[in-house]
Amino acid sequence: MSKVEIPSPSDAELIARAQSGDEEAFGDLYVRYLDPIYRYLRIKVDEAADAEDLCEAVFLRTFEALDRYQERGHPFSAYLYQVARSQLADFYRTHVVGVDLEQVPEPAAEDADPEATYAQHEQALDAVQSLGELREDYQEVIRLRVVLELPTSTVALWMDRSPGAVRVLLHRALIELRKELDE
Amino acid sequence: MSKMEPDVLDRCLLRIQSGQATLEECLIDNPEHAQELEALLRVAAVTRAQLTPAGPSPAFRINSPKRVMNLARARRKASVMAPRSRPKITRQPAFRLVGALVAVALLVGSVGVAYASADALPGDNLYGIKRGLERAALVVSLSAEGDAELWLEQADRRIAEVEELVRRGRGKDVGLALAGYENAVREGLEIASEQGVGLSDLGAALSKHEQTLIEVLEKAPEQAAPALSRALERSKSGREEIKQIRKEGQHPSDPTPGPQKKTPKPKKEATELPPGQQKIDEARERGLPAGQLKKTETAKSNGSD
Repeated sequence: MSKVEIPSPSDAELIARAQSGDEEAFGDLYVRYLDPIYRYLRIKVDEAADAEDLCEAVFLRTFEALDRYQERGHPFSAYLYQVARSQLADFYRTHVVGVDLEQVPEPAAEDADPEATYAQHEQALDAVQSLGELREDYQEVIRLRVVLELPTSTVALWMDRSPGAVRVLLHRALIELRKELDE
Repeated sequence: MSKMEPDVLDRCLLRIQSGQATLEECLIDNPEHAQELEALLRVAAVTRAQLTPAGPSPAFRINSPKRVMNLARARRKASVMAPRSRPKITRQPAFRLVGALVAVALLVGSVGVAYASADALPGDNLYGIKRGLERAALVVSLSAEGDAELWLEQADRRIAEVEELVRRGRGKDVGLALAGYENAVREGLEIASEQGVGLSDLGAALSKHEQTLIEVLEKAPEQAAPALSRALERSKSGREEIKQIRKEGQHPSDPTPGPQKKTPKPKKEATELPPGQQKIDEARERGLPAGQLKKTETAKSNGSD
């Protein structure tokens, strides 16, 4: 998702059209938010196939609830995020969860230096494990603001907090993550 | 050394993420917090580098929206077509009278709400009911002529709503009515083009709509002007499309002679699902993602829980 640009037509226009039965308008919303929603889900599950299934479930559920959708001060992306979290909760209920260390991406094969390769892989393991040690809202703000690089204003809407509160949360979260990584 | 404000960290992160500054430049700009800032920005950089996931594959990007829309259509069709089985309830005689009274009260209430919703405007509480009733009318319409008439009525109604909203100074709600208008025109044109019905009525209606929109545009608040202009363009382009359809062939509803006749196509049906979709549907019916169905089945065949 781009940082500050206001898309045209706006989400509200596309939603109104989709609510009137224009499926193409919903298709446009799908394309607009596929990337951030998929990437958010991908961070939270081990396999790309699961992220794809969850992503489709999110948009299908949203489409089916669209008639009842009203903006009420929260943007459409925040609604999708809430649906994604709900789908993830369902997913976790039916799956054994935990950090699968095999799934931590290996560095590219062309990296010829075995020591550097090992160090990079270890660093990735550290990052995954250390993040998992933090409280849930610290983890979430780091995923959204640092890993997905969403703007603070968007993170604030998604997490239902003020931008100021998100900045404070991120500051504290990074301090805690630093401590975990140092241990 | 003063304590670093969270804003400093966030601002630096934003500058680095947007490519406006490097980590080192941020440290130079904030010498009083350089030590803490550097530590946290490096933690952020490492975390991002190690955890950033790949985006969706190109194939998924292309196929997923189509697949979901097909599935949604199929589900919608199934829910409209399938009779709902209801559990049989045995009632005590005393409750039958109460049940009947409640049913009558609900019926009267529902009719009242439906009646009241007829005058609702976008932004009103009852507007959703009004639009829902319009959609329901389309579902029960059994012919292309009926559909064409209903879409035309919807287009007329949306224009009337726009007039009323502007009269009341509610420019912010005009966009919703106009989105509905554009959709109704598009659907009407599609039926006229494919089924050959409603062409003359639609042409006449679009001329009237165009005139009304021009008048409304003069009085409308600035915020409503872009949507009104676009709807106006839609009316004009709709009339052009009608001319084009007339050029291509004469339709039963169109008294203007044309060079050839088109055979009306059957009423549009929901798109059939591709063969592989069946499995995904099955998974969804069971509340599972498709990938999980495979895993569950594998687990079953292995005799695990």
